[in-house]
Amino acid sequence: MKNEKRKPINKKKLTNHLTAYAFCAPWFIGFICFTLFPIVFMFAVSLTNRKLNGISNFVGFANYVNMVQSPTFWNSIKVTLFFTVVMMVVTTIWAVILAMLLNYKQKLNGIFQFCYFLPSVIPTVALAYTFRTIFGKEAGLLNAIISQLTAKNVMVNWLYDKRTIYLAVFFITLFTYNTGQMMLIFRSGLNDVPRELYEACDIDGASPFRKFFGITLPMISPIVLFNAVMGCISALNGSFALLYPLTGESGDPNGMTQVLSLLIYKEAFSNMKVGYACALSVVLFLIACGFGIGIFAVSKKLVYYEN
Amino acid sequence: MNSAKAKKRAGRILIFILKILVAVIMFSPIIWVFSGGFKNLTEFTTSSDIIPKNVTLENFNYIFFHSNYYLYVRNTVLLMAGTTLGTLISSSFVAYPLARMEFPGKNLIFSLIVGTMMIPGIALIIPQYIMFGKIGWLDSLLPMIIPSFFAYPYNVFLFRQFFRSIPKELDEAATIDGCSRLGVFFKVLVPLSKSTFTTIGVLSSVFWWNELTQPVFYINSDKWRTLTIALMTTFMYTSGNAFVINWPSIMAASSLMILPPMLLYLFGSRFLVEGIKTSGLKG
Amino acid sequence: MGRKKLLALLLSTAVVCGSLAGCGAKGTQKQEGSVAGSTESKAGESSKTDSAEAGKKVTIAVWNEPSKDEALNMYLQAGKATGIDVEVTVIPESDYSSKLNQMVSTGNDSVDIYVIWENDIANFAQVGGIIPLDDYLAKSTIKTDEFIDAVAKLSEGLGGTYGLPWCAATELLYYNQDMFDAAGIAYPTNDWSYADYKAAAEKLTKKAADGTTEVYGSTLPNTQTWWAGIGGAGDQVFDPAKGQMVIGDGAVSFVSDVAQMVKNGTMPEPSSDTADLFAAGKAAMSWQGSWNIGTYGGGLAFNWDIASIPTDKLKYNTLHTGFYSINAKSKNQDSAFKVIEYLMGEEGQAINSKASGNPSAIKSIAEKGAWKVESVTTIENWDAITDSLKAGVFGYTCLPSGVTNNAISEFNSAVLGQKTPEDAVKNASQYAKETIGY
Repeated sequence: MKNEKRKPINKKKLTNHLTAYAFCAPWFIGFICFTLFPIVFMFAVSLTNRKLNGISNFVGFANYVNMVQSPTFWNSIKVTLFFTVVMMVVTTIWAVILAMLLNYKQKLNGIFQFCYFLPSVIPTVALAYTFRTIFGKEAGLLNAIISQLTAKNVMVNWLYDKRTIYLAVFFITLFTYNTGQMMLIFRSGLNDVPRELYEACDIDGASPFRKFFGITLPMISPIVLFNAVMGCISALNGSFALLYPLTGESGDPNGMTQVLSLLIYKEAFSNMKVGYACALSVVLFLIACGFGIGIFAVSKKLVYYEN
Repeated sequence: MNSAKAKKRAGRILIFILKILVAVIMFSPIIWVFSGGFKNLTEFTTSSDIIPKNVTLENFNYIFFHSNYYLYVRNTVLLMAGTTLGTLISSSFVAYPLARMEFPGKNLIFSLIVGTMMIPGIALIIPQYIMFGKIGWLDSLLPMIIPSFFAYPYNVFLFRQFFRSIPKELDEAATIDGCSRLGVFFKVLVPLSKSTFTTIGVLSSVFWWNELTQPVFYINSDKWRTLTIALMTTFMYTSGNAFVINWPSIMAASSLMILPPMLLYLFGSRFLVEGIKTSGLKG
Repeated sequence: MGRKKLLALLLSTAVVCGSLAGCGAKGTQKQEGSVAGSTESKAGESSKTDSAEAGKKVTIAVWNEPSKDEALNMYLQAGKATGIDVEVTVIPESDYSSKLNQMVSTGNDSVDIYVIWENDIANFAQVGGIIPLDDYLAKSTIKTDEFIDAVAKLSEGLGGTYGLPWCAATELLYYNQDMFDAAGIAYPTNDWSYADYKAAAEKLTKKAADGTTEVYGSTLPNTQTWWAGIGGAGDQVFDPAKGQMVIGDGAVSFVSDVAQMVKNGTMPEPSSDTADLFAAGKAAMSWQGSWNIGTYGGGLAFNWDIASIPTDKLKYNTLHTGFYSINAKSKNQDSAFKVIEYLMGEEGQAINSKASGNPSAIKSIAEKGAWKVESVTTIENWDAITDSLKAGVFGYTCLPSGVTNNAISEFNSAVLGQKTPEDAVKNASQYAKETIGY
């Protein structure tokens, strides 16, 4: 008797669950086919000496052994970590500066936002070529401007000089999509900070800096976190689209910009060492996981949540 | 009092000047691109004037009348349309139960989705390349379009946030009226989140218009080149010498590529700007 | 029942969506096909008597743009002569080899004729990516027994003829006569020594008051001519027996020389906005491939001529060619061979020479001298080409492009003073060993 009564409820629940799973099915199929399987497959291929033409033999951990013995690999790891962290920090700071400038209510803010934001929606490859010529030595725009200003013939080889390369590259990252996106997000975030907090501060006669670090930053910290996460992914993921046209697969000069994704491309397609490239991909995958875990661990300690 | 006022005024002017300075820095690359397209190669490589001495249309002439430009535009538009359509349908579908229903494993699924958001695509591109090679999809748009029909985690995440902001009472009312879950989805949620669909659609289109990495890996021949690839290939060595980069030609092609996002901003900034803002705030 | 329906619906939407995307792509492909089809029938009607090949389409992959002058565009002329619609796909030199390898490894059929580089032909033949042409050649008029010796040698050992050399290009010293006249220096000859070249480069350099260079004595070696310098300084460069890169003392000495010249301002530094400073009138001399004769044509604003690459320890320059080969997956192999037959014939070879300045690899055709590009009126030293051909060997072009690109990146860092030439050469060799031995 009891069973008969409970059955319809269970059935309804079951139907409900199955409907939910059915809705999730596209993601589930995609997850299996385009994420989980490639991860497993990547580990498998990294244990072979697969070449681009498909010929492969099992070689055990030979790729990993070669990898840890290769100075190119260690250089690339160093560059990847450095590039990701610095790009994340530089673009976030720049986005906050832009957002604060734009949130300062004045005339022509619409035009300013247009100028600040537009570079971020142009294709990275176009951006890279543009900056290759702006940072050129013989007829580059930047050298010409500096020459005009200083009345000297300035010939800095921005993208080939090891003293200026990082300056130039991180300057270019200020123009990427990530920065523009963060700027807009910060604009709304800053607008949402309650005015009363600032007013209370004004009464105390606090300096603008104290206002920023005492109120603004803690209030927008959840957004900073979100942006840091997105910035980290896009630094790992988007660096290829920026650096491949900018400094080439060897990461000139002297491998100083050869992030792992460039090395993966070079090994897989210029040298046709697909097995080795998979071993490198495994490392990149682990680095990404590391960054993810790290950011969430840090965020638990530092970020201020309203609830 | 007066001095304080003067100080404030000076501050305002200082900030305004700062804004102009930053605007010049941020916008100068775009001016450089547009001016470069009208130079010839010799002028481009010997002078750095913004205004070309001899304005030439040879670069645009080449692009429009002597290259497969229209083919590249078609490919890019196909890629944009295919992936955007795919991700809108599939991601909104997946987001629905995550925002509205209770079922075992929901939290697991959601954390897996957030987790996969953290994996940069480039880490998995080599195994995917081999995989797509095996099923014969390489050198076509399929390796990019088909996966979009199986929900991008980031877009699922966005849709979920938007759906949660819609009052639950609305679907309950619809359920009482005899709507199935699917009915609720199509009759209540979809009409109410038109702007969300537009937003994510615009963001996805902008992303795919600019995307270089995946086409670089997956496309080899001219037939399926997108505009970003054409910039690195077709428009690069048009000077006749296979080893000398024709910069003005690249600049001309780049300026053509910049125009659509520019127009989108000018005439549809509501979708673009507001979309990006909301995409980040719902974290 | 309800959920089954729902599942079915979901699945079918997914399938429909998927097939929609497929249709989207395929639909347009079909459209293209039908457009091509319609031109096919038209062409077929109008030129039925011409040839059975009328209206067929053949796609050919190359790394440089065909000439904009229609009479000098050999592919266009091949199309006219054979009635086949010849389409050219340009893949830039920087990843030409890589893209071709990908296409061959995935059985791509979008290209019918590959122009294959020296380092790839053996591999492509081995994996069956290209077909042996022997059956076709037996019935054809192509003079395969007249190839210049070095080229004939390169094709040996493949167990068949898999590709036909499209030309025999060399490397040359280009110089700006006006600048030599102004400086009062005698023009370079084919017997110039490397010391002569260095001395002249120094004298031809013009500096501004603040010490920056206005006109360079010579351009930096480019991706090809680095190897001419290294080979000339005594290194073997390529060991055919082992398939390895062999560089050592010669490379160190040449890289050091270049670094010194860059330091003195005689040569420009490697730079991100790479430009042809010779053509722009900002450098007096330049080591480049013979094909630039055709590229420059009459288009330079000064008088110029050519000479052999200056001789250091030995006379050395790299021979260049590409091999016309047919994709094993191609559906138009017969038509493809017809096109190749034209391109390898008297007319095709002559047009190629006229357009590029590269002599034919077929001796009897080369002797006719079509490579003396007519639009260039200032060249008198045409002997430089025959002289260079004699000294030319197949060298770095037989190495994988990843290896040579990596080496040049290393040399550039040495030139910029970021590492010693010894380290650069050591790293490059080490990298080559790892990669080729993989």
